[in-house]
Amino acid sequence: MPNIKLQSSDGETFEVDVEIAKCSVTIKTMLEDLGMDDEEEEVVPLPNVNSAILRKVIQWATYHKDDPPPPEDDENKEKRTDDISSWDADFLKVDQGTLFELILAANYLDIKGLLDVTCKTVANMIKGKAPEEIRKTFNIKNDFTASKKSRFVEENEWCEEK
Amino acid sequence: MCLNIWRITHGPHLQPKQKNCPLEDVPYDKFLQDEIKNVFGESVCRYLIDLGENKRKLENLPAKIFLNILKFLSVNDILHLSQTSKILRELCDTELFWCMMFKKVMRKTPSCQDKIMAFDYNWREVLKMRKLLSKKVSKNQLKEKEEKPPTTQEKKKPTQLLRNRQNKPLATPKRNMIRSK
Repeated sequence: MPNIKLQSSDGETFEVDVEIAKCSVTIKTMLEDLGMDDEEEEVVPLPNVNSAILRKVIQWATYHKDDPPPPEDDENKEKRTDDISSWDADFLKVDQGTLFELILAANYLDIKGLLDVTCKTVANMIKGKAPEEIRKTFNIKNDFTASKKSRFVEENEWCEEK
Repeated sequence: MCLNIWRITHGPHLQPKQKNCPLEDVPYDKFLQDEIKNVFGESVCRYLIDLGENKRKLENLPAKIFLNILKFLSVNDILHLSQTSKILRELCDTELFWCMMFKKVMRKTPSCQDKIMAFDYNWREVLKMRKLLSKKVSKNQLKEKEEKPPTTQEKKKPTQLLRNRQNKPLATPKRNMIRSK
């Protein structure tokens, strides 16, 4: 199996199986467009991903390399968030900073599976919580004055689902 | 980041001053921070410093990713989230956001007519109108199977709704308080 070198923003290089690297649509298109898939020793620079995050991403991609491609989105359906596999749940037991970094990396590298599972994890942290609990979870400072808050609730309560 | 400062004077009238500053420098620029705090408040200043320091927080995520997270939430969860802070409320009040909410609340892709109306007004009004309409229709359906209201009537509605919305801020609680004093 041919390997490919990926270089993180802080200069560390990772040698990865091409097939695993190709689960990133960004890398896949890059290789196809530039014709870098020959024998040459090429390094793919990834200036938006640091080494700690890139290591995590490669770990995820290696585990999921045999997954079928994720299904197309049906935008009108409410999406499930309870279908995270136990491996993924364990993998994503990280601090919030790392979780958001992973989301950004998945978005940049265009890895739909990883983006979905990380966004689901964040969504689960919000689901079913009252505003005060959400503030606590994400360390959000409440900067509303009491009257403004109630006006917003009034303005948008028509779209609430009962 | 670009800050326009326009001081109100009795005259001679001055041109607004413009201050440009890369986001990375905001955490070190005390003068700029005070200026932002005065005008926009503590939380906006904090938000910009976090952005400058490259801190990853929920409210600093790019809009596209933020919306991607909201796709997994119910309407009520989103309303709760938008009540947590001013910045999150702002993030939950964009055209892209309301277009997504349309799909969520109505459970269908917007029709051509919806898109034209959204272009003329905005997605929030279109959704509000459709929702009210669908409630009416379902009530009518319970009574007897009536035809949908004609399209001309539909088109008039958004202006009414818009007017209502514009009138609202006039009756702010502040005014009432002054009167009662």
